[in-house]
Amino acid sequence: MSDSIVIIGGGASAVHAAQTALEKGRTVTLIDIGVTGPEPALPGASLNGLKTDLDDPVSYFLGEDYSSLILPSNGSEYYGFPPSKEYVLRDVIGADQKVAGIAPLSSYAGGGLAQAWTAGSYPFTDGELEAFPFGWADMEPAYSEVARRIGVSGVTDDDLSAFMPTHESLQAPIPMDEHSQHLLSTYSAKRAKLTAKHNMYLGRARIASLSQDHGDRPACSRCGRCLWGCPTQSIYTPSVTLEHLRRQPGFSYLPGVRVDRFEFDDGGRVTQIVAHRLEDGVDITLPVETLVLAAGTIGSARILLQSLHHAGQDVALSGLMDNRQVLMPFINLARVGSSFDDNSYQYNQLAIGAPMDHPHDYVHGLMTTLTTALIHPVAQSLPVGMRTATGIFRNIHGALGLVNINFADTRRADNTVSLEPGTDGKHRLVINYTPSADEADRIKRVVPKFRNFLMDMGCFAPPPMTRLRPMGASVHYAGVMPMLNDGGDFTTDRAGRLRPFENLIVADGSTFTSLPAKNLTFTLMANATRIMHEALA
Amino acid sequence: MRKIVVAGAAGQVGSRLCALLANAGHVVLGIDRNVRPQDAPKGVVWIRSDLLEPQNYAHALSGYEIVIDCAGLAGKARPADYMRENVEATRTLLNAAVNAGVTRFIYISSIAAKFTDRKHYVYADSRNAAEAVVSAAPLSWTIIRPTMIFGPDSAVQANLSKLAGLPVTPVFGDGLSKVQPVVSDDVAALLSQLAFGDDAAGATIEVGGAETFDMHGLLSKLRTLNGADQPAKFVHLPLSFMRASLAMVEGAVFKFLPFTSGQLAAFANDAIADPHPLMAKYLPAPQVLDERIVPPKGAHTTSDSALGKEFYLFTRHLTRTGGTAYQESKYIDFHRRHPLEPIDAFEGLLLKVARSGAFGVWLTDSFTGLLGRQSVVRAKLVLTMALLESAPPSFHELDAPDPKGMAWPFMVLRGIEAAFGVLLGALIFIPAKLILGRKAKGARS
Repeated sequence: MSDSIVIIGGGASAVHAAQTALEKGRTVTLIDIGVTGPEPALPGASLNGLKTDLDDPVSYFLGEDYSSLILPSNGSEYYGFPPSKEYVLRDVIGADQKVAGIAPLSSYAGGGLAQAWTAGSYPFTDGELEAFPFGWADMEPAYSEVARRIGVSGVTDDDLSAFMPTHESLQAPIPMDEHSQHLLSTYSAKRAKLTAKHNMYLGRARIASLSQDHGDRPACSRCGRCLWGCPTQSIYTPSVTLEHLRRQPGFSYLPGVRVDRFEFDDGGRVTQIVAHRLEDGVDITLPVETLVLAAGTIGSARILLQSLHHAGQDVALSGLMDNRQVLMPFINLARVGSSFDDNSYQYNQLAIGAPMDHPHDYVHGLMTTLTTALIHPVAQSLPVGMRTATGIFRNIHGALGLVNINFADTRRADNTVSLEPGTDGKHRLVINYTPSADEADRIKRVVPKFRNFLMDMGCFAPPPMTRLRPMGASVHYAGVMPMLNDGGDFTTDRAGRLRPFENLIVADGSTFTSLPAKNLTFTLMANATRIMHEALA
Repeated sequence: MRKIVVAGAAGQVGSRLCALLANAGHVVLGIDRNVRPQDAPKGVVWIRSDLLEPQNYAHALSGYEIVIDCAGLAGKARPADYMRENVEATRTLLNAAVNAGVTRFIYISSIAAKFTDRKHYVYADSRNAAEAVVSAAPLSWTIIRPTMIFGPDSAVQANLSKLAGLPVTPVFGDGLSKVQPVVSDDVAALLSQLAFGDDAAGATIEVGGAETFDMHGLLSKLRTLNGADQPAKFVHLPLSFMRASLAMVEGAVFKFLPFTSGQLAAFANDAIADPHPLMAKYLPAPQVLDERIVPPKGAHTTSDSALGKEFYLFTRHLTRTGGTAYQESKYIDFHRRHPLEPIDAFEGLLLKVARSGAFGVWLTDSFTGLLGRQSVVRAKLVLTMALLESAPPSFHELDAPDPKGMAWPFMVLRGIEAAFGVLLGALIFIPAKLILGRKAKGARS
């Protein structure tokens, strides 16, 4: 492989591919659209400090145009997307897509979709990696390397640890808020009975949030602003690595550029990329020695499809995957009437592991205690007047929690990404998704299992409030250019080399051969790191 | 770059003046008892204070050269309030300014200060008295006397438009008194010039708009701009009789009157500005009244003041704390961007009942919580809650549980209250829905 690498993308996979390539002595050019977000408002303030001290707190919490307000007419979510993270999903392209069965979100932000992640960092087990052409032992060094870069905190000796292999560089966990402590101690007290009855396990979450200072990023100050955007970068986002990359020799960054396609010769050698500057539409061509596609599953698929189309070849990429999620709000009855501490870490501090018959089908529940989220989205979902809801809410706020139940997915031939001629003469992306035949059945079995487990923990999860999130909402897309030992065209080898090309590496979620239930982001970063190690060896 | 204080900085003229001055690069200190408007330019320093409480702002005036006093009480008020707000407040501000070394003071009075027939009109007297205080002060001063000030947020314009829109428009007296409305943007622009005009020292300038009407003419023009097809029909009410009888009863029933005897002086006096050379110099081309100033009716079907009342009612319904002027402005702003209008007669009825008072909002809230979850009333209540939880001081109340040990009993009580509300609401609203539904069906066929 050559000394000079061009990487397309600026998200979790791209920045860790870039960092690894730099460390291996290559020069790296990163091409990205790179929308940036606002500077954090009043960095030293707590969440309530923001409400009190900002000139216009309503714009901060609900948005200039009230886009984060959840009214009954659009009230299917329990969180409004925070206005301060709106840039993550801002469509600066005006992308034309035709979708069926899935509503995929795209990010053009520097740092990608993970700029708005909830930092869950769960390595995949051997069982979950079963369909991949490698196992835990091959991934462990990459997980450890990424953990060293980003800082991951958690424990290795509780019940949940059985489902999360141990890598190096794990910080101590961040102190829990009172409600999470209460849940964990309830579990510990009833552990034998709960685990025997339900075969479900509660433990500390693994999160890419700092309990100790890490480089120039301070430990979590528990300001309670996680959901609204960590003002101190104690929660890792890929833009941290992007900033770090930009300070290193051998790295150049080309933001504001959208790649349209790459061009290749008859021998399958990628020769150049064709892109345009978003600002003025000026076309750019850039010669390429080694190209790395890391624009995210949908973004990388688009570039590959457009490149093939330009060369007279139209194909459909199959095997698109996404995690189905079910949101289950609950009330911890013993905590009704308790006040809550808004100066605490807000994202999931606990997680529930539910092993199934096959290790790959393991179901992962992220447990959040919802203290500083706005309450009107949940309050208005109650079947009572808003005055009653307000009165009830004041008493159950400190008792509220939410489990986000994640289901695994597998590659299936009918879930495709392809191109078709659009109305404006350009080609548009067509994305089709159908859930697996047994999905409804699995959900029907698993959801009551979680509800009963919570009930035995003293937590009531009202059935009408349990909601199935639409496909696409989890933003965990993967699988259209899978790593297969003996795959055909448009699959990769274990080092991400895309067949039939000579010098094209895919380093993002496109390469996943299955999608376990655990949040994929940590594995995206580790896999990109492993791929670059193997491809550049 | 100059340093200027604007009092009454959140008001109709003051807010525009702050923006003009700040955008021109001057250092502006705004004083107002209301919260800083959300669209105030970043550069404006804000002190929230009553002018009668100089301890809040006097210390901050040092270093400022010019004070422009746009504060004042107009509209319906009691005599003592006019004197306190218009005379004492001005005197207090002026004293603080002189003590702080301010060298120039501009006072916004009113054309009423020159009215000859000012029976029961303490407002005019208060403006006269304030002018006397200003003109005796030991600094360079200028007084302006605007006529009626029009603009999108003008209360007098809104009231006259409402009057002009009626099938029959009542006019007090013969309707021949002259008026010359001036636009708030123009008044602000003039002030931003006069502030630095040395030639204006010691001048009292009357400020009118581009057009002069008699009262009939103004009401007809407003009616046309509001989009009415038919010309206005006027009915004349005896002015002297109205003034005398109102004056007799208003002490007792002040609260219930839409206006006072004194305010009718506007129908008894010409309110037009004498020409002044500085007007020609600093405001050579005032704006005429057109659609920009008087938007056609229906541009906002719900008036801001109706929304304001609704917000007040809803906040009191949801919390003990209630809302702030800032939250109210956000409530109105939301409706401007995303109108929440009833889609049928039944929705209209629910909204009407919700707006009728504390009981009405309780009843509709209880009912829509179970049986009208997509209704406009519920959307408005959710919006109210979102605004209450996003800003001080109300968010504290929404976060605080009931006293220890009382959570369950109180929640049970609230449950009973809710069940009772739904039952009562259903008894009233379900028959109403059936009747209105049948009516609508009949109308369609």
